[in-house]
Amino acid sequence: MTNYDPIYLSLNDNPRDIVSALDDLTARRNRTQSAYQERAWLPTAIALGGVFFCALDFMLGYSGSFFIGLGAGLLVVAFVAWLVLRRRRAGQPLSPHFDTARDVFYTLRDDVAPKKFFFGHVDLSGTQLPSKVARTATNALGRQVSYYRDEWLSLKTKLYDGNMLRCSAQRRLKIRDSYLKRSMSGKMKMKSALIKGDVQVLSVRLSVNPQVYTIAPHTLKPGARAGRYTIAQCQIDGGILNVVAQAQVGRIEAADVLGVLRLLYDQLQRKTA
Amino acid sequence: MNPRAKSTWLAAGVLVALIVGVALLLTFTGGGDAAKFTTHEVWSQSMSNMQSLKIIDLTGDGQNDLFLQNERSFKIVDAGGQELQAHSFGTPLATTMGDVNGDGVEDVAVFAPDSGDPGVIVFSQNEQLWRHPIEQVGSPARAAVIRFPEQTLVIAGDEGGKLVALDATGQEVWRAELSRGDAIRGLDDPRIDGQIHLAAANHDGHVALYDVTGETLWTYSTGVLRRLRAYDLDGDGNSEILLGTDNGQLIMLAAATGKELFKQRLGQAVTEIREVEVDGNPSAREFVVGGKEGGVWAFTSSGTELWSSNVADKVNEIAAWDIDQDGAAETIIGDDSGSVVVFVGKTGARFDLSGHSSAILRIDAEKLGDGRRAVIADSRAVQVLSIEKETAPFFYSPLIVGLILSAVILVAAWFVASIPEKPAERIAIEDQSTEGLLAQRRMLHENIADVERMKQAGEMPPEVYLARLKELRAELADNEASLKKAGVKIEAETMKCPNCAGTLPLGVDRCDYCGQIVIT
Repeated sequence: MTNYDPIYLSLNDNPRDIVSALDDLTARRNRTQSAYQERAWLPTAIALGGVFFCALDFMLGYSGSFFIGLGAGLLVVAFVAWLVLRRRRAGQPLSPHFDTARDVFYTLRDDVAPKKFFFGHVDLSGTQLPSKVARTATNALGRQVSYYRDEWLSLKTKLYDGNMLRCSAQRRLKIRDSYLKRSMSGKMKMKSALIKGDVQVLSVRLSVNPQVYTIAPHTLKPGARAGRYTIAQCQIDGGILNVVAQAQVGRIEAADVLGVLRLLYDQLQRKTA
Repeated sequence: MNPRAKSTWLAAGVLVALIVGVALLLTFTGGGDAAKFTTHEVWSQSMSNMQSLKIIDLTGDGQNDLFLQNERSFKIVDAGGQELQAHSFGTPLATTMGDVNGDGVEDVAVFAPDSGDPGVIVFSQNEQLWRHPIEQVGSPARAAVIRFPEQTLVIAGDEGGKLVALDATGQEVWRAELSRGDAIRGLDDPRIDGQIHLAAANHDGHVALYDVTGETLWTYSTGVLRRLRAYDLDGDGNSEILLGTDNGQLIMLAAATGKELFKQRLGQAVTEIREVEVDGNPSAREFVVGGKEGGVWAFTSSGTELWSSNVADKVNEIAAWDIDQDGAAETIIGDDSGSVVVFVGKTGARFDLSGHSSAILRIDAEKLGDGRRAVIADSRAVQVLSIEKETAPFFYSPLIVGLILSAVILVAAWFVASIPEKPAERIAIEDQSTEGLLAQRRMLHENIADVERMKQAGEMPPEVYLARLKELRAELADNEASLKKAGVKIEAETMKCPNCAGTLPLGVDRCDYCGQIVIT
């Protein structure tokens, strides 16, 4: 499983500023990473210098062992430099959902009502966190099963046409927790955690501006496909369209989210003036 | 400059100051003087199993020659390695050197089997001076030329503990039995009141002092003995006799009385003892002792240890040479593994010279030819070396080392300090205008309602619910504070728990997080 750098973004700003801030974050991370890569050779070079001086001391054979002291000092400097650089590097890449969120914000940037904001968060801090346990249960064998609900994208905005869009992308994990088991030989063995279910869920709620649209559903029904998502539930409650879509994939792309939004908009019919 | 860069520069600065300080201290107190000893081979020639080796003038030309003896022959070569004379005998063979005929030139006395009984043969300047068979003695073990004040005697010691004294013409003068059935292991010429006597030791540990008539002046007994040496260490005209035993004891006896002056257990069999002017003070002499396990000790004339060290294997030979001409002689040690090690006189600082492939058997260091030379014999060959002390060049100094290390630390500090900050893991992209804050407030209310709904539906465990609620309420309190700061009139909705500082909605009586009663 790929590890990603955790990041949490709380959003309450106009879309262009958000996209710009996200791009700036990516650029800063790239700068840090390239600065690290430019300097990564330094500890190795210093350590080689240390080894060189130690070897030189042995070759010269003088008493005092000054170059051995220098070599040992350089090795210590190399180790410290390596530790510090390692701590300051950008580390693992960001989750691909960072790009997904950025592309969704970028695509919707011109659809937001004037002086209105994108509100919500991008939470890429990881799925299997204690704070993201939705509930726990025991399976038929009596082992504990944890259900994680990781809402990695939450977005609320008033659109240019007066509609109110609420969008929430989640990853739901069902994991049988790790446990100790006694083997046939009598040894205790740790059985690692096992993923029993992994599903991406997209909940979209569109409060339709009745002055502009009427709702005329024709393609929105359970089982309909939108990108990698499949519509699991759809409900029209007065002037509000509620849709829950699911996908059995690890990675969601912006096109998948936007595909569902487009499907919702396909159910709207603009009123004639 | 960010705080991390500042702390990096600060740490680097402290380190550099410390390093440069130590380097300057070492440089100006002389603690940074470094040197090494280098060897250059003058010549070498093969001769196996050397038993005796000495640089000595045996031709009377005023130039030292080299005496070499193995188990069945001896030869004398000049400073260039040219053979001057060579003689072969039966085995076993014991040789010694001394001016037997009083012509001022050292002669060679050989105690060896001679067509039946063992006999003593004396060579003087490439000629046989005399030859004298000795009746009723065992195999040759040791020989010595002792210049008693009254006359010079050649002493032959056999494997059975007998001593036979012959005069300068080869006539037997006296004979004595040190002890029955064990080999003579040491013969030396201690002085008493400046007069030379004979000290003899048996392998079984019997020691005796004889005068010119063969009369025993005193006896002493110890364990199995490996070495006997006699030196006037304190320069008082009375020698001290040093004994090294198989059970690791070093004993110093007064030659005049045979009383113990000093006794020390070294923990390993004593294999060699030699006088070395270790401290450079000529008023007293020091001596160096080698052990079977490689131990090396330097002692003063009173038996105080000056320094001790170790070599790789059994110490076979110890030689002294003031290589650096500072008045204190360096101790050259040859061991059973073939290593040759130099210990600097006063300090005992160790320097390894180039090793040999077989055990070092004998070493001597004296003037030979145009300079002082070390002659080293291993099991296969004899090698004549010049040894020089080489002072380290200017760049091999603590100051240069300190400067290089400081420069590297500063470069590393610059590299580390100039790396950009890693972006934060938690970032707020939030418009702080009134409109933005109000929108945030609405959204927070919506989120709190969502969390409540999920808890009601059983989709969220109580502890996760409380943690999330605490988070959202804290954000709401921040939002309230920001709105008030912006001058927006809003009704406060939150308060802080006086006990746990968690944010609570106004109107509750009990803190959700810590359970304390909260009355507002």
